Amino acid sequence: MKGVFKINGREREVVFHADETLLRVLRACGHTEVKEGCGEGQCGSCLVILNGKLVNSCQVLAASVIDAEITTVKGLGDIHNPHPIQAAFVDAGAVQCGFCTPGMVMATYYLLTRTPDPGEQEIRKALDGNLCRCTGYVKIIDAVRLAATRMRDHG
Amino acid sequence: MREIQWYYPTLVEEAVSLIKREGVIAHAGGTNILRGSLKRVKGLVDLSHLPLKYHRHRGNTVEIGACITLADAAAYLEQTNGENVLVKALKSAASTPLRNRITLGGSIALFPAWSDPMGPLIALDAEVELAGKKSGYFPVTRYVDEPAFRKDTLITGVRVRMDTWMSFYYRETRTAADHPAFTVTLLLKSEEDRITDLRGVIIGCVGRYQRLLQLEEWLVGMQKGGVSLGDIGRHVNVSFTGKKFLSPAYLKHLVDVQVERGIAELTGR
Repeated sequence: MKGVFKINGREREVVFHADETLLRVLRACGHTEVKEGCGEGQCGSCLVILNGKLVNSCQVLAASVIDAEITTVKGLGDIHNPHPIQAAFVDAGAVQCGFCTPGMVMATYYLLTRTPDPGEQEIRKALDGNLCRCTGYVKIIDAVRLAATRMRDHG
Repeated sequence: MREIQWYYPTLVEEAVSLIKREGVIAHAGGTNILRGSLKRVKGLVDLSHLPLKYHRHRGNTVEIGACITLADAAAYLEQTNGENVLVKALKSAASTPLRNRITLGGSIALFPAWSDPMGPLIALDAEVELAGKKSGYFPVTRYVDEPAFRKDTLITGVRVRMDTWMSFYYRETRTAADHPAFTVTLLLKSEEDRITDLRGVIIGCVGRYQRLLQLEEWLVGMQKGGVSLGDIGRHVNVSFTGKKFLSPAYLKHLVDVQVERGIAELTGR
């Protein structure tokens, strides 16, 4: 079947199977920044913003979200022009293997666009759908705090 | 990859007639569909274009459309009833991104063993609105207990009275990311230190849920200070099948402990 998706501001017409997940469709379109970790909605490495809501793209059937607006981590910033959240994750030392990082950045973006000055419990709650095997989470939480401060200070 | 026919009805009647077809099932958030197998599925009826994302207060009663996500339901209810047990449960369920996909109607229709909303919905005597072979409002317990209510029907909404209760909600998990092995919902009302009403519901046990009728009968009328917490376990009538790493006897013991904690908290002990 065919459908149009607006991915990072750009409309794409995609051909896909009726039972394909949004994750697979995005990766087939070249959006390999959306990672397949568990495929079960547990690890958060596949997080995207779908019509303004943070979702596990591995838990969304693409056919159910035709015409949707989707933002991936590359829609926030890139290596030449990183988003403050991406920069904060690097500056706080919150990236080791980097596999969970796109999902962590998306969850942080979703939090900080709704709660610009979150407390620790709010940060932990916002990242409750993200798993990291490397860091032990301390520096990730530091990165979220750093990003929040910078976004409040610099807009 | 299998070819499955997708349908995008805009009218409830259209959706109801589609799900009567063999091999055709409803799709709301879709998270449970992906958990299972699509092998026998011939068609998926996408409910997202139906007018089922409403929420409104009618006096003390809240009506919520079946396609509202758990996140949106929690956000709406929290505006007026932040301490309500249903809000506590909705905000505990799954994870932030999954709560943005799981719908209230889907949660009720599928009622998995780890369900968070079902305990409070049962304790609050919630009703489901159905369309199809059965139409109208029915107690959620009838929908769960009687298969006739689930065949060729679509949940279109939920109605809940938001009375003021003292509440306790607990979910038994080993880690924050775990599905709960069981949940405990306790509601209590009192007047001048006497317990006037009590409701207890366990989810995840044999039969999927259990009202703690024996406990309720024992405690109603009692002085809050007179409750013998050590005797609570004897009045908790619930049993379990074994789960991974958790024997039936141990699960029963954990429930007894949490119900005791809950009653202690609600009676100010």
